[in-house]
Amino acid sequence: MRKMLCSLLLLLWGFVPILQGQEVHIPQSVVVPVGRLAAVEMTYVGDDFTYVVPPELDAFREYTTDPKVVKLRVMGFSPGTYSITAVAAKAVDGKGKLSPFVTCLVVVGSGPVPPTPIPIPPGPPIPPDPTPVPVPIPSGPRTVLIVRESSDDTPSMSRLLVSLSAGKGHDYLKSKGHGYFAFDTDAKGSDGKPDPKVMQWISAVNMLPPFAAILDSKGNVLAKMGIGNANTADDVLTLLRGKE
Amino acid sequence: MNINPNFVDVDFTKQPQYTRGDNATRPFRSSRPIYEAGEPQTPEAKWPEEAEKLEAEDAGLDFLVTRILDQKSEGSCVGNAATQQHQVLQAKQFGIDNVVQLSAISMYQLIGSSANSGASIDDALDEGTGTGFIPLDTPENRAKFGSVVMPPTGWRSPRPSGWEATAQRFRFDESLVVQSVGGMMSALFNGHPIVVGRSGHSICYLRPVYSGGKLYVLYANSWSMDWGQAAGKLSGGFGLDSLSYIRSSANWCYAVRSIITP
Repeated sequence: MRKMLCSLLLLLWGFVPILQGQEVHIPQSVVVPVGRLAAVEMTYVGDDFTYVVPPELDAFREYTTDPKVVKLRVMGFSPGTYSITAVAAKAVDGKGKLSPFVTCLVVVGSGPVPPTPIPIPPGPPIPPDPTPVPVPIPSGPRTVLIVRESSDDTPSMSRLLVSLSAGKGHDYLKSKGHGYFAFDTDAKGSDGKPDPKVMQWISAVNMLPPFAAILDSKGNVLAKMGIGNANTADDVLTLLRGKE
Repeated sequence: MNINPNFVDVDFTKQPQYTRGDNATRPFRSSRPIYEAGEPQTPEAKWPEEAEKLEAEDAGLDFLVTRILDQKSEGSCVGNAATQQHQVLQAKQFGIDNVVQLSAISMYQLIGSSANSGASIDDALDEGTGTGFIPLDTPENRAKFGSVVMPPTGWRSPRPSGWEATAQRFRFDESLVVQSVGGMMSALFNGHPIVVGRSGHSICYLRPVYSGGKLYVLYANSWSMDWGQAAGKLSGGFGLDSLSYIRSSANWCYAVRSIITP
């Protein structure tokens, strides 16, 4: 009997690493307002990993030092619940083994309402904090940065770009000593490879294109806005004036 | 805009500056994407409204023209039109104050076979995408690129040593063949300049314009500022085509959506 138990334990011990050999950890759900970025962090054990983001969500992957930690930033533009599905695979005895498929539900906008917090009975009045001192923004020249995908260019986007680069918007920028540049999301450098500056700017601004950002002379992002069909160069200049 | 009738539907072949330059010898390579197939299209019913917005907001591509080129007596119009197209896109990306002026002859030398042979615009698209343009010989460009610069004209001008690497910085990236008037209008409303060939001449189409209920397209020519009417921020160099010429141009043209980041 003891021999049988030992054999069984040895057998199970041998199975455990196989069962844990390929797996994915992902949050069960995240809730995010319409048009805002949510973070979905996935980690996996295995030799390979893939995931599927539904077409209703825009997504990009943030850089991580550990390749087995995948940080996605996702944004939805219509209320609803969408699934991101992921799976890992590992070679076991020369055969690829898949992990179970795992899913993260991304609840955009009018998803399930989070539980109401339990009301706390009023206590003694708390003395107010000292008046916060606003951090001064150093004045100086600003740069208007636009990032957009040129294959999605529309007449309104074109007018916005021409105004800022050459028209009335440009005249204002020039009168104040400000700069301007625009990037295509898939812009390439002279080596024909994707221009790394584009992803750096998207990451620094922390927003999905198309967007406008106001930068100071050191490249710090002072303000940002998404650009839709209703937006004009005047909207971008209004954003700029708030940071001059 | 004020349209000067002297520069509407110009028969290029009857102009003193005319040298045959657009050979239009073969169709575009079939592998190129088609504008009408995947890009956002503007329905015809909206063209007058969109043209009015361009006019009201000073937001036509003509405002991105920083210099009217001058091909002089050479048949280099295709090289000149492609050069204008690249500079317009530079202006849109970096602002009109940061445009690197380019040498049209540096392009024409790649696609022509003599000073007056002319060239095909599909060759300009290929070389503009693969090889690129050399900066124009100006004091500003000499400060940036040293001796890797070229004059605007001069078929026999030598190409500077090391030009290949510099030209790689001034290339087209994403381009599309346009096959119809509808595709042409959509490209221009979307801000993508078009090089066309018609009547043996090549020009750069920039902006749809309505006047008296009629559709025109404003273009930049390469016959110096002394020819043509004012548009954008310049006092001359532009002409307009009405629908019959626009139809003719739509048979033989391409749009560029983006350029390589220098």
